[in-house]
Amino acid sequence: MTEVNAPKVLTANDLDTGAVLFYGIDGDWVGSINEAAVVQTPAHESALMERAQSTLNRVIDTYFVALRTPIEHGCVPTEMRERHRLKGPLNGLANNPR
Amino acid sequence: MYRYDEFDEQFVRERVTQFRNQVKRRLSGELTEEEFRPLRLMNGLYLQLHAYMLRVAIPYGSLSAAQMRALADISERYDRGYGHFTTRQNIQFNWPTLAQTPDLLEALADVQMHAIQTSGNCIRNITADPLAGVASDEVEDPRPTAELLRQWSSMHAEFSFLPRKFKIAVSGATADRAAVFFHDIGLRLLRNANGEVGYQVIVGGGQGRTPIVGTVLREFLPKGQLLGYVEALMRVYNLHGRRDNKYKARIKILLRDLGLQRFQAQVEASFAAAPHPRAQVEQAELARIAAYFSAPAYVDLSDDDGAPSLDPASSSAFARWLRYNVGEHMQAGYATVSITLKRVGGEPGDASAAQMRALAGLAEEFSFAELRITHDQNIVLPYVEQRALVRLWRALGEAGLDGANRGLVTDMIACPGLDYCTLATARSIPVAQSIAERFADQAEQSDIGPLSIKISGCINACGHHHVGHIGILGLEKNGREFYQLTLGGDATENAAIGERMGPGFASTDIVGAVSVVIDSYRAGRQADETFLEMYKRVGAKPFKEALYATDS
Repeated sequence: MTEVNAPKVLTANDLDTGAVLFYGIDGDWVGSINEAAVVQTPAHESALMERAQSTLNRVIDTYFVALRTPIEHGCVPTEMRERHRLKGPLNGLANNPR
Repeated sequence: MYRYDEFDEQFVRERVTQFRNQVKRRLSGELTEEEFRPLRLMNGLYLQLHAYMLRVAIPYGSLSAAQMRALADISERYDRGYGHFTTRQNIQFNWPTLAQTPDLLEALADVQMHAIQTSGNCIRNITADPLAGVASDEVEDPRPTAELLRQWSSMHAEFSFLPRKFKIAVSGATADRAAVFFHDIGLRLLRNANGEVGYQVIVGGGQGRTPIVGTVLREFLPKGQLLGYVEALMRVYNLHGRRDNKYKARIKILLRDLGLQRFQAQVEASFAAAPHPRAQVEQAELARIAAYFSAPAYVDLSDDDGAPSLDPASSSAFARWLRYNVGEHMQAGYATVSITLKRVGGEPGDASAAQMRALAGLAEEFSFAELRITHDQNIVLPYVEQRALVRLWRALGEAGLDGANRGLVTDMIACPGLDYCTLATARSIPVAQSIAERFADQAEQSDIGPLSIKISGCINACGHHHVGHIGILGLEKNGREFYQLTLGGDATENAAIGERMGPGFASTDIVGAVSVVIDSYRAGRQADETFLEMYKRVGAKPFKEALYATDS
């Protein structure tokens, strides 16, 4: 069960490619989870979602992903499914540009 | 091969144009995702974990060489150079972009293919025996029936909003190679006592979270009544199937809840109430369609000694391939050839663009330009002259497609699993790869003999684990993958659902567990009995004991 105050990032899939994206500190959707804006409280989650509203037409399936602590050395999702979602399939194609 | 007529062609093109417009409006923001999602699903486009996925229909698994070549081109142009053949005889592309999907669909339309009704609560691809038209145990070719059903079910106004997806399979032989007992409707062509050909109608089979072996609803349905009867069945389902709970919405649940007698009564009543002048029309239509599936221009080889000559330099390897991958044919001097897409280290059911092109070329040279996709993620060349087998085998070798393991332990089914799929709870491909590596030795594979392992990455059972001789179900517990073993499943006419052995195994232990099962088999088998035969003889107990012995 994810703690209410677990650090979280906002994720979605790119509307065109379906690629995994994270809402970054500069208000852009980025490919690397380590560049994602991290929020620590439900209030901050709402605020971040609010800020992201104007960009939501470019992404699909937006939701928050909880992270393991500490995050200073990198963001690792607590859920196995999310860790695999980051990695992509074994053949390594998820991270290769077309 | 069936060819689209003008009506089909126009319909598919218009559909692409329509979807192109919808995509444009989605990308511009004019359509929200909520509005767009049902539209893209109607065109077979899913959003998976980290990309879109397009599921392309291959009607009853029949593919021309030209179509296979087009799939290769499409995979390179619009995807990442490979495709995945599925347990419903379809192909999936794992990396299409939304903006390019209309062009991809246009390229498919150029070869009379599409992705319509491969998703959603409608009638899906009609699947059939991959040896249709050539099997030596065939009663009648199931393809005309499958094609009749395909045409009938395409955009059927009444059945486009079913409680849930609906899957139909057709078999035309005594042996069932289409898993008809595990479909919503399964049809088997057979002869009655008068020698007339008709259908045994099986209903309510399925896998997923409630695996059930289908029930025979009608022992013999005359051919001309097929559509009328199936419509009656669909009508009962459409009216009474549950719409309140996605997990209880398949026809198998309705049948179980009503009980066979009440269900049968409803179907018969619906059938009696519907008009039947169409029975005549249907017979004529079936005959028209059957003409498209007439036998190819076979060479008369009945006087030849078809035994392929063995080159001493390659005889052992060729003999092995001959034994496992080449099957009997109803036409003298011919054979069916299986090409397994189960290379050690590869992803089960995947073919690269190069391999698809090679397959297209080989089909053209050796098999009247025709291929079949099997529901265990392999390919069949249905019309190969026996005297050409050595040449074909060598050519397959050059393309890396000569794996001689059809039906053996390395010929596994595996769904895409957590490497691709949003529904998955665990990875299945790495498990398949580990098992294939563990049993890479060909002599060991031969010694084990026929053994079908089927792996699903979640409870939805797209990997058909319930009907594997050894079934593996990937789940998640405490943030880790763990795998449950079932034994004794059977997808054939001896339909059986595998029995769960006990607590699941960690991902580090599952291959070991499979080895324990196989070792127990080899230790306990009598004479030439296969794994499944032994399991039926001795039951689960010795395997459970071996798996969960306190000192193991």
